Amino acid sequence: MAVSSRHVPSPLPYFLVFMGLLVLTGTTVWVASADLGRWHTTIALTIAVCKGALIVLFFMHGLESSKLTWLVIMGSILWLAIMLGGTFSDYLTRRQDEQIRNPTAANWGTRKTGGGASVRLLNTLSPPRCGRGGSACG
Amino acid sequence: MATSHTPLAHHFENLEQQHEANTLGMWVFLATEVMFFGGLFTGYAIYRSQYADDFQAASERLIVWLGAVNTAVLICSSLTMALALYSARIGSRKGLIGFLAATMLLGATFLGIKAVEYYIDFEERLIPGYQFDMEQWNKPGGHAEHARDHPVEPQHAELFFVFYFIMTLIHALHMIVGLSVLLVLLVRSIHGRYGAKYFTPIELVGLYWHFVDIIWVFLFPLLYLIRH
Repeated sequence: MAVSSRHVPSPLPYFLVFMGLLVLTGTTVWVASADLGRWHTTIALTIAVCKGALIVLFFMHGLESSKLTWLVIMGSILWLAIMLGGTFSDYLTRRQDEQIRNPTAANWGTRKTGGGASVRLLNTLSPPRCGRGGSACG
Repeated sequence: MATSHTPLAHHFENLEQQHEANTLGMWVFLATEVMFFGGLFTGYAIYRSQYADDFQAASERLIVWLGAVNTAVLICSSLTMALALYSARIGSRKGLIGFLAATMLLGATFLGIKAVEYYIDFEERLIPGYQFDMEQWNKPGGHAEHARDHPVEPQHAELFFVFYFIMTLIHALHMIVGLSVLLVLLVRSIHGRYGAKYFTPIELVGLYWHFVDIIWVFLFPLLYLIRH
């Protein structure tokens, strides 16, 4: 239903959300200095998404919004996903093509730069055996 | 609309319908903003995945606690913005004026801290394309927090700062626009234009303000907290 002047929500959720956001900010700073291996970016982005969701749902009254508003919200998330998904489906598969074409290149996933984003992602998915960067095999 | 006594525009049936239409319009605008910032985030993500080590080395030059304080400042300003809308809805003009002023003060604080950060970046010659110090990255006992497997590519570190400055400057520009609109709201609130019956502009600016907060919520970990 439309927001009417008669129904005024209590401000209490605002304070709870505010506390939650501060706690999550502290957590994300604390987690960044912890030793989590390669999960830093994933955790940082998960926390950011949670914070964003809290802001949309409570501060921006997403919970009381109309279906039409939700269509716009979901639409913008979908379009963002298409942009990120489409772009990364290109960058993250380039190096793989190269390996298929030239399977003898044994160290294809271990060079530092010039290997493209796929090297990074593939390292993330299955890290090279000899440490990060891969060159320090001993 | 400004000259009429009622805030209802003639092409709407009633205030509620007008409120719905205005709110939806603001959400659609925010969707375009998502795409606008989304392009920057996508470009950043590509280069960061490509030059992960160099981006990390560059990111370590930023002052994390200043960024964290700024995050807290923006979250506070979102709370005061939400409370400003609440005050308008319960018909408290004093509350509305006070919370709008508090929101502006917090927004200005954010920009002030950002300016200090930019000044430090300038001092440390981290401005891309302008006296960017290429030599500082691989000095022994230099800024590197821990030993690296590879030397830092200065051009890639510079690229990080290109993204850092463009993204934070555009975010700051959004803050400045928000502050200007808040100033208009503040003046009009003092004149008693908003209350329990008509608070749509407060709500719309609130949506924008919270959105700019969300952008920073993503910028902060992506730019300041790169560790892996």
